[in-house]
Amino acid sequence: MYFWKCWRDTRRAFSIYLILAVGGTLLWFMGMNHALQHASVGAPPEEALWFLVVSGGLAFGLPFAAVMGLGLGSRSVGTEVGGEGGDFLMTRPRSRKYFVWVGWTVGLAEIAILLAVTALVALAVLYYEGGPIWRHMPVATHFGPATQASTGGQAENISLLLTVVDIPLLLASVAVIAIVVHGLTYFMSVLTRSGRRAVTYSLILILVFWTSANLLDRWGHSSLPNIAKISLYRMSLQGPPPWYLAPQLQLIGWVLFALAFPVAAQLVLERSDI
Amino acid sequence: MSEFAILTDGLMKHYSETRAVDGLHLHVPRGSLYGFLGRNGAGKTTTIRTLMGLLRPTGGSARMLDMRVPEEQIAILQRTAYVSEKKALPPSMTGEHLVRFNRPFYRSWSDALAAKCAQRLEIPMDQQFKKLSLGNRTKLCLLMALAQGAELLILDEPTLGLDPVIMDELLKLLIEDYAVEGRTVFLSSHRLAEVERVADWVGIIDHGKLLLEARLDDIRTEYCRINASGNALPVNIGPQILSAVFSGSLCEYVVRNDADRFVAELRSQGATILDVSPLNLGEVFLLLVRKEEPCTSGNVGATPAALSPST
Repeated sequence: MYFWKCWRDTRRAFSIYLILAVGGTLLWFMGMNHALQHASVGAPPEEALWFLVVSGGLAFGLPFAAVMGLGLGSRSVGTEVGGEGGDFLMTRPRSRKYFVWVGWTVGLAEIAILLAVTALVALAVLYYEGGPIWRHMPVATHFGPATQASTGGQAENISLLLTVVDIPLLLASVAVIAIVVHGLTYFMSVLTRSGRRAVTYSLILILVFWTSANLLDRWGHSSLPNIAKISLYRMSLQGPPPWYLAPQLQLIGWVLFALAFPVAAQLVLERSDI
Repeated sequence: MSEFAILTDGLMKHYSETRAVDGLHLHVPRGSLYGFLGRNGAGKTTTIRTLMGLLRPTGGSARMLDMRVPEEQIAILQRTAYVSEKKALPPSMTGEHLVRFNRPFYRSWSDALAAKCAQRLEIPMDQQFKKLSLGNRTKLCLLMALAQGAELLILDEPTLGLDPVIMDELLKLLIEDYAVEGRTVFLSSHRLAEVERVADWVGIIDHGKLLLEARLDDIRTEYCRINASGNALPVNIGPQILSAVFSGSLCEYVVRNDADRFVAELRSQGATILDVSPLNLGEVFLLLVRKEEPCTSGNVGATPAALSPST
């Protein structure tokens, strides 16, 4: 039924993201591994592979998650209502709540599959390059400033202390970014009834938030909650700032925040004329 | 069980200053083929979209198949089929995809009926909706509605933009295959000829208000034009008079119900009856909705929806 239609409508975008995720992961890990073999990371070679995971997650995973969330969130029941088949869809014997949540769930499932596939591909590449690297999970591996260039500038002036907890935390951060951006874009697409406007407004909001967070960070001696920095602060040798909550709490908070978007989308759709 | 498939009581839909539907009292009998007539912008589509739960009513109440609109909308939609004015379905889906998509929503869905409609109407079911001609789009929309096996079928301008051949096919399908099974068809249109051909009940709406609701046969038999001449023709006219247009010593009355008694009354007042002729639907429609009256002297205009189904 509507699950099938949602999948049908988003499968092209899903396929493109799948190709990008698999291709990007392969290129990143294979290319970076060769670069690392000639660089000093201050860690044994097996554990250095974990550095690839972290730097890949920060430099490739986080932005890709945001792009994926934007793309998959821009298709919603709102865009259908704004398009040609809105009357037809909204006169099927189901509640508006049903359409909102089914659409959102399908998007979320696609994100989960894309992230899982990406993680599996990364793991396969790491295994291919370094054998069973899970036997060498980092207990407390220090990566020095020599690694700065590899992090795409995100870890500028930061020495990282990577522990076994940081890997799932980073993966969770990537997933949560995707969920939040997807939720925001999904809500915008219900509000504006247009995928293009939803992406535009979501991008504007994200950029405003990101800029404000960075300005506050640099000059305001304060900070806004920032998923992208949850892992970074935790791994920083300088230690997290005083306001830093436990990362698990932060992630739960962000997930709850992300859940507010489909709820808001439902409320908007239920109260509006088609 | 109510005798009405659709019943509205002062239904309203306002957009700030615009009163698209303004206190509508509609009585659509079960098993009827009801023609809902009005000019463009009269409020037909807004009424239908409100009944289908697409728009939230501003006031009043409505019931469909004994269920409240919009509180019991999902149950209503389970038993009601609808073809919108836009004739739009998801553009990238083919007819086969649409059947597959639609089927699980309805307990009374009939694949056999869908196949029969597709064959009879010669709909290319393997083509994407967006690549179909307007005629085929309309036919596919109708197929989706008919195959639901719904008790109530609501069609908003179903023949808009269609050529006469396709229009004829659609109307035949409606009359022969659908209405004959005792289901209710609510057909909105501003094409009087097509409504007159198929409908047995008619409602005329203008400026969001129902001007007339009557059985089509009653309109044909009970609405008469009476031309009379005399020096003291009555101006104080009863509720059965729809209009009275004076021109010197002549007057053209349009009456509803009991024309014979009115003629007798006129004669008793010394008038000479020049002509008594029945009105057709088109004339009744024009009489009720036209704004510019040919003569203002003594004209009383239209009487708002006076006939209920029980009268």
